Amino acid sequence: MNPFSARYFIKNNFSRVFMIVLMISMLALIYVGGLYLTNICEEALAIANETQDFVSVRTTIDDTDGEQLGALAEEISSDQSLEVFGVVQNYYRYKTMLGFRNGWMAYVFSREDFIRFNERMKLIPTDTELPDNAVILSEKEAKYLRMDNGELIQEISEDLDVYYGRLPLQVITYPGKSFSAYFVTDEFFTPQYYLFTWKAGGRKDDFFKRVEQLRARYNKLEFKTYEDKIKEMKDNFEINNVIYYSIIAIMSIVFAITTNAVFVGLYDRRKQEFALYKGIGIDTKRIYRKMAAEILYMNGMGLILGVGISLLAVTLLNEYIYHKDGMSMWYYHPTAFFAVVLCDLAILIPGIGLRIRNISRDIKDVSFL
Amino acid sequence: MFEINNLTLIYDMDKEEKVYAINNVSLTLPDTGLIGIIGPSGSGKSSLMYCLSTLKKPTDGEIIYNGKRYSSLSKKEMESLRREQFGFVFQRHFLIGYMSVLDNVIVSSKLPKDMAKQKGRELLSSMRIKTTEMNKRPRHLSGGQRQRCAIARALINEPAVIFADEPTASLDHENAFHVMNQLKNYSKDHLVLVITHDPSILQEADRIIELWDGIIRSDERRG
Repeated sequence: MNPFSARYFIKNNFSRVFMIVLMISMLALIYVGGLYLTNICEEALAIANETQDFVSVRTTIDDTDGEQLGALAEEISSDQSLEVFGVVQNYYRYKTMLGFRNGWMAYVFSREDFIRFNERMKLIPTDTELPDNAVILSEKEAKYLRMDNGELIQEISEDLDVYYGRLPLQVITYPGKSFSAYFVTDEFFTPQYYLFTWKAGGRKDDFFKRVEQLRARYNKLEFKTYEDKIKEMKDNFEINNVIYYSIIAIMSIVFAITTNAVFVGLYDRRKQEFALYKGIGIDTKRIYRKMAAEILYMNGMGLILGVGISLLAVTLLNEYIYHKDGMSMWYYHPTAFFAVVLCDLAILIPGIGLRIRNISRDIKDVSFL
Repeated sequence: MFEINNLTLIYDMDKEEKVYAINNVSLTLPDTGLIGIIGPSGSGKSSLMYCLSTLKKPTDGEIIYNGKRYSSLSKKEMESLRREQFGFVFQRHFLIGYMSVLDNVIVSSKLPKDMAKQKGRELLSSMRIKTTEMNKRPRHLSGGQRQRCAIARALINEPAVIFADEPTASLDHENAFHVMNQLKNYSKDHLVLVITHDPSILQEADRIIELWDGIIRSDERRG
């Protein structure tokens, strides 16, 4: 190995270099933290994704006696291009990665309506014998609720608020990717919401144009498209991003200061070495390149170790904490990745820049040799 | 080879009491030969060496090396000169602690790695460093051995000029004699400048220049 090379230095000073490698590997904390926060947001978005083709509409306090809702219901029910479902709502809960229990709305259908809904959504096999009172759970949600397919719910739990529906409720599960639930009841109810979408063979663009026309006309009703729900959720999660990126900024400063302190210790003791290189005629830029290569090598090793720590952390968290509640942390998300890149640059730029400045100052006058 | 005209180096320029490390020195140095520069501490020997080797910029005067004026050379050209033409033996060995002795010798070599290692081993052997010691770190060697390794490092690229600042300072008599013998052999085809305050090591020198308070007191040519 070339004794002037960065690899030579790393290999022969590994005990000193390891401190920096270890510090940089702690960027794994930033990465796993990013996975945490993005997962919370993504789980909520996944629920909305499931019914993204549907628009929901409900009355507001401005709609006196539900006049507009009634008129809308009559108009859309008679529209042959639309698939319309009158629903009410129950509530269910799921657990987030931060340990909180999030409550979410679950639509309650009549048996006949759910059969039609299922033809569109294909949640469960169409030949499934649907009981009069059932709760259709995604496998994720069923895992969290510790319920199995075919199980009978005899009493209400704190994770299922059943305002509409008669006990016992039969559990039917489907392989969904979100924490989702739907109810079927033979109990009579007056719809609080209407869900509607275009019929098979229809055009999505035409449907949403129609929705905007209806929204304009029935201005006392609350229409929610998929985009409306996403925007609302993203607005709610905005604070998460603010907190996360504030933490990134602070951690970047902390990382930059602490690693720079270690760099100072590592490079200050080599003042004579760099002066010697200059003295014997090695190109100054080559000296800087050597130093930069050493730092980049250490950085690379730290990142690799950090990846290993992250993978291990995510695997252990999933295996021992999250999977049993139906959750699953991803191994990769662009937000977490870019947060690590930003932090890493905060370490590298001053690390290399300050070392160049200090070496340049130290080798200006090598007559002390 | 070297033409030095009215060379002056002043320290503490901005202070009332300026220090003239070199005071209006003029001389010519040949292409080959062993030249000793002697004088007491503070006489300007090292300062002269640093100016000649481009490591220090003189306050006044001119140095011309093989027709090139130092004042007209860029930093890059000076680095190239040090790399291609000059070799250095400093007062302290400055061997790099995390490199083996052999790697210290070849660190600035321009040869391919295997050839550099072979040459390095030959040089170290000529400096009486055993093969078993060549892969050791400098801290495992004595002060004298380290200095001999530093001399081997200076010779690795066969430079035209060797600047040796007190090369035998930490050596016993026998090793000092051996090292001076090596430098004398090298000086047959190259220029070797040896700075010392001990005239006894310059018995084989072709010329002895005596400096006193930055001024040439005597310039004795021998043989």
